[in-house]
Amino acid sequence: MALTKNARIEAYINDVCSQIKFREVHPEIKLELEAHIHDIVNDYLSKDFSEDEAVDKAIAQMGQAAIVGKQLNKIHKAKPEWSILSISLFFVITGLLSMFFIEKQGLFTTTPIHIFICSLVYTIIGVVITTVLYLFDYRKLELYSKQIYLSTILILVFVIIFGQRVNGKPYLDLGLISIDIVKISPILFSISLAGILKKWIWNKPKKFFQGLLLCVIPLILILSGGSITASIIYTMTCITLMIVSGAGKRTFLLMLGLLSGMIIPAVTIYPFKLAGLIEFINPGSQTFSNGYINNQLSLLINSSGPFGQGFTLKSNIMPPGLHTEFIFSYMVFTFGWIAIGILAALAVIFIIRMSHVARIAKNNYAKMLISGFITIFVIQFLWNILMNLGFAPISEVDLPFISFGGSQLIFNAAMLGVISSIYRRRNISQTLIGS
Amino acid sequence: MKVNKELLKGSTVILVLSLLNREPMYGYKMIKEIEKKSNGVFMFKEGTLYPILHSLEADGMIESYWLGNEGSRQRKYYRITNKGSNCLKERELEWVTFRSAVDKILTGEAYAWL
Repeated sequence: MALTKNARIEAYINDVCSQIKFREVHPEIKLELEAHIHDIVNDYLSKDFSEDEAVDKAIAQMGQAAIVGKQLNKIHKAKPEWSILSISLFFVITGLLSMFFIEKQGLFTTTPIHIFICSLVYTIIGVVITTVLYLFDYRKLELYSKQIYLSTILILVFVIIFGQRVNGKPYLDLGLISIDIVKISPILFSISLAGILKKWIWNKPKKFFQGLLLCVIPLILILSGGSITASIIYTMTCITLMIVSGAGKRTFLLMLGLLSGMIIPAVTIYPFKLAGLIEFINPGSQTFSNGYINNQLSLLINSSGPFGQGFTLKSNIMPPGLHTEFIFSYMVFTFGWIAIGILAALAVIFIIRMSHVARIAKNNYAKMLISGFITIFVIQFLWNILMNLGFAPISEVDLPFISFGGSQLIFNAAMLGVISSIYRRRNISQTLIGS
Repeated sequence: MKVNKELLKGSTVILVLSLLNREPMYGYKMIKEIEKKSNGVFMFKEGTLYPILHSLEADGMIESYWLGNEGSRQRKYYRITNKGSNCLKERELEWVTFRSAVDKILTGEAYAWL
């Protein structure tokens, strides 16, 4: 190749790019135009033109830089994935309204906090986080995969040893707020493992065991943190990431066996969880409070109708956690089956739209990231709804965006932000390389 | 002979789609093919091909991928998607209808002049 870098070609390409406001597409557009111009130049060089003439002709043939740039700018303007964003906003508003009415009906009297005002604050924080992450290039996250993995491990170890335990679960106390780190750790591990396992070579024995270890260590910690729910969510996410990263059927079946082999004995270590499970299998045996909760929930749900009972719920039939895990039952009772049907349909559309983003995204890391997130969202929605209906064991799984809770809302908003960031950059296939 | 710019504008999308319907290509190759097949009738500023390609990709009609090693020349190839080939079929039908209608009127006029 006669010419590798030519000042005039570079200037032309820079003129084109200067018109394109979305800077992250510049590298790929530069590469594409460069290849084209070099092809024309080589063509002329082979016809015995001098290099200067060839470059002149090539640039003339490309057309005015400003025009090409302006047209490209129009195409690469930001078009957020509005369906996913508006469905989440709808969920958030539904949650806020529910908090408002729960408080107004006097159903929430146990602790002196204003759940509506708190939710409003969390919502504002969530919107800010989604916006910031949307603007942030998600590909930068990949560079920090190992750091995110290690720091989540370290925080978990720290919290398990020194953290304040509430209901057997350690919290990360940051002064103003305390974060349920065990509950949200599957999200952090999902982000980090998406980067780490992206190109994992599962069929080499050494790599295979390393991969296995990377997946198992977080599970051990989450289990020590006392959350069966989080460990199940983590396991499912891990398996999804393994499948997407190209681990064969045998590999992930082995993993599934290994991981569930760890969860099952853990269930027996925590007797109250076991009791919950027994009650779920055999509802007659009301050994622990979960049986009571299940009864209250079915009372609530069965007394609803297609249009709901309005704001008539009395505090004497209210199960604990009505504003958190059991908000679904409150909404069924209050707003009725039709409204809840619409809500469930929207949840399905939400998941389908996310899968669509995973399908069209060019970058493999993006596909891994979204697959993990989809798994987390699907389990949250399914488990929460099924347990409210009495078809799944009672656990601490929230209804995403709707249940009361800062950690829940903010971290779901963060996943939403990353997904929006991927959608914005879906046509960029290049991976960022750390310096 | 040079054709009217407006006429060219309306047909570039169908040209690009039908080229890619045969095989995946990169931009420069597309220009060469169009030039060759049209005997030089279709000549346009080559840079303006890319806005067309990028917008077709944004609409999901075509998709792109990179070939070539990093460091050496990398080329961005485009291939047609299912949505794109469906669109092409519609556009082809549209074009045939349009062309025969224009032909009828033009040849009718030609007879009238005779």
